[in-house]
Amino acid sequence: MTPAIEFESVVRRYGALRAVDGVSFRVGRGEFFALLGPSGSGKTTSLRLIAGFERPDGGRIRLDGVDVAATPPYGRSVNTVFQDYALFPHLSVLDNVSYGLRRRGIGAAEARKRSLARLDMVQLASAADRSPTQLSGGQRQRVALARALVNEPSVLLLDEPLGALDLKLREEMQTELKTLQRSLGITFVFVTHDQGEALSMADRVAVFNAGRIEQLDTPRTLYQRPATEFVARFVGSANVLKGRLAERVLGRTGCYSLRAEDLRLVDATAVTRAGHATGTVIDVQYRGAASRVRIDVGGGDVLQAEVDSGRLGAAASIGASVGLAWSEDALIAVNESP
Amino acid sequence: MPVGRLGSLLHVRPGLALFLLLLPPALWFGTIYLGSLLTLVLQSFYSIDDYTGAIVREPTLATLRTLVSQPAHLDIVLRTLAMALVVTVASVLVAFPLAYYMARYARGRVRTLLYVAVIAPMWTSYLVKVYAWRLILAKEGILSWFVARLGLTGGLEALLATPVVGGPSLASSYLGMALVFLYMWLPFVILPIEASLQRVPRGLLEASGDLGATPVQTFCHVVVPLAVPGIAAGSVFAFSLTLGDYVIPQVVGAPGYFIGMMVYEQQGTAGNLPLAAAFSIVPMLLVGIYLMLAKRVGAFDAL
Amino acid sequence: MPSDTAPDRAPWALKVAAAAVLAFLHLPVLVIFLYAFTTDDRVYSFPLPGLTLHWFGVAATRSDMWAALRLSLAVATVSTLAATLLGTLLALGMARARFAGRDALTVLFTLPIALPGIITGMALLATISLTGIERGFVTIALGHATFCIVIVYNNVVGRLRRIPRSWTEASLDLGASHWQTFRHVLAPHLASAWLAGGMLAFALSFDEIIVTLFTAGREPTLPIWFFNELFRPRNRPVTNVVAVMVVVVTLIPVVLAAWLTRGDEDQGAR
Repeated sequence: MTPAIEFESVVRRYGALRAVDGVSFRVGRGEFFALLGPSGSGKTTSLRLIAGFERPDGGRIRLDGVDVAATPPYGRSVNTVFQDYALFPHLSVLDNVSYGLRRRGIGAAEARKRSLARLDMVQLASAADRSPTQLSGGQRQRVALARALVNEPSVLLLDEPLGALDLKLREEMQTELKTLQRSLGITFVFVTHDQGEALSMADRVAVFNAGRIEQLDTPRTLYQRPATEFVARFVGSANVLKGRLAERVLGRTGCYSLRAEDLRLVDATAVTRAGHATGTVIDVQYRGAASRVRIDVGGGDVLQAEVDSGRLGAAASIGASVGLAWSEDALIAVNESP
Repeated sequence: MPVGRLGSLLHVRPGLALFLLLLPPALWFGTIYLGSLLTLVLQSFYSIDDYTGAIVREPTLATLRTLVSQPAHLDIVLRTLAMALVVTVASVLVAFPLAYYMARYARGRVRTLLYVAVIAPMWTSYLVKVYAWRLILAKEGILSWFVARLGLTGGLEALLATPVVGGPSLASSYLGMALVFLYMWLPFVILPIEASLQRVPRGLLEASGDLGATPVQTFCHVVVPLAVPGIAAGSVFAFSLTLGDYVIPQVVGAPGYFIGMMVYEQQGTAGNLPLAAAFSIVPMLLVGIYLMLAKRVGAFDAL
Repeated sequence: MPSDTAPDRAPWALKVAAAAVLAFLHLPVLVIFLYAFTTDDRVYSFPLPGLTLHWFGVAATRSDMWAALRLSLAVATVSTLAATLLGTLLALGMARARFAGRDALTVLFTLPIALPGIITGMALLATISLTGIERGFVTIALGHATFCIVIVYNNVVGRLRRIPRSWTEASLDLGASHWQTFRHVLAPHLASAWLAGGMLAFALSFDEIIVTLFTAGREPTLPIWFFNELFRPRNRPVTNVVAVMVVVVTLIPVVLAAWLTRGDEDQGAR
């Protein structure tokens, strides 16, 4: 089956900066695909390349198997939900939603019918005649969603779709978007800098760093088997042991990822096995069910452990000496990032 | 979705879209304005046949030579330049208090109101303003009446008796002319000065006071130096507009010629287009020099 | 100077000076309104010997004045339309594009209003004489449109910069072509900027004399007619009346334009 989206060594430069630096990936039909990375990593530029707002300086982009080098945005069966929603303030909610249909020559009555159906889907049919400026952030986002989906695109692009919403609304929308994507069967590509969002929603995640993809995998694999130091840090907030620290604590060279929740706090005197470490607690962050403990293992190196808050015990005091233990298979060799 | 050939082409070559947008205005401007400036320079290299009065379209330096060699011509240039400089200095001095008040003390509605009050005269008909001054400066006009009411007629007469600046009445003296010039360009000078003063951080003034400067010292050593770019920008307007004007010297003022009048008369009644062209290059050069000087003190950052 | 701290008191000398400058800016225009009603028909005597509306009636019967007014209105209309078209194209090109020579191009387009008008006028005349074009309506309008472009440009470009890029992208994304995007998304937001820029351009053209004296043929525009009247003392009362009319005709569009663009400059002013 032809992939919905195909990037082949795509390059996008801004002057001397390579915003997208030889990126290749394929997104299958009906897939929920996330582009994850810090700001300036090339994820948003990649999304804009799919939409057609940017043109690649090198490589190929195919949508449904067709090279879109000469296809402007309005010729692509792709629609976007913008970060700022980009609703037209001079048009009513209904006119915003029917905008795409009307521009494609669909009659007013038919466009109205289809638009109202989409507004109904996002529970905003009652707001059809209002101005988008009168809506709340969450409502605006639903309108933006309806406006994109009414055109029945084969790919829906979402640029930081939840970024402007407050925490509670964000969690609601995560579930809602996931349900929507399953019921429509459309390919969703969304950009985010929040690894939690990417892991919980996407089928597969491409992790971007400095214009390149560090790793492209399912959320589970990304989390459990990070391929690079960057992914280990960015996706799993893992401890990375390399160089001097690896030699001292692990007794071997190389670069390793060790997730915080795989570290156990033990009695400092109980550490006997080689490779297990002792250190001093320098900070404890209470996070509800779990707490994050920062431990200075000497020489200015700090490891983080995530511990069940109920079993924190005496280790919770800053300045306490603690031992750290982990099982050998929690240690994952990763490629060192520059 | 069908996309026309043009649509694809513009997507592949975004520079082409930009080119197509800019082409009509650039073409219009290039032919009409820049083309005309070139012909203006070209015309100054033509000459006029002394007997027939016809324009001789052969390049020669003769016309430009008469411009600099005839003392009468040089007089006109110097007179205009002197007037422009006097008006420039005077307009900065008069503009500063209002600009300073607007930037430093006016807030909210008062500020908006003052802004409108400065801009409105700028957009009032130029000719009508000149005419109004003729009414005001006339021998039996408002100003004389007002001066008489104040019992200062003697003072005014003494002023008019002063050589060079004086004349039979204010309406026919260089003093009156300078006053009208000053009035006409004042808003153009106030606005940039106000803008540059607006950008002086209040903290700087407080710091100066904190360091022991008196308000007068702060004004001289902090406020005025920081306003220099705005002063330079505003003075460019006063200078340039005075150099190029010919309506005001014609309607108000002493009999001496100014560059603008010379250009107008040479192309009109005298029919010597090459000499008129040569004369109009003078303000272009003077403004060019002035702009270079103004640029040095940051006038363009203030605009 | 930031506005969050309370302003301290202005010294009284500064207040007096600022008030004097303001009075200096405004009193002369009021004089014109006063003189339009004087019964005096020969000299500029003050105080006015009496008040009358007589001269408004006399002015209305002057057919040469009406002809000049008609020409001025026609020139202002045509040059405003041309400048609106060209200024908008320029603004659309310059609003977001980054290319070498961009700043130089902006400066170039402001030259006709930055350089003394006599240079523009004389330059146009040099060309007219070289090409042998008949002076009249067309040459006047060509000149006016040239210096009106930048007025429209400033208004439109200011508005375009306030329109988020995502709006045009959203429109293209939803299937609208570039033209449809202009027509359905940009144009509704540019409307008041066009109106404001157009009115300022109209006012500028309607009032222009320095350039026009070089480009006009035998038929005078209203400012030229007025200029000629200044040297005919017999017609002084009529001149006064026309002056008031001219002030009113130019100020109305300027005030409307300011009202239409309120908010455009607000970020800087507040």
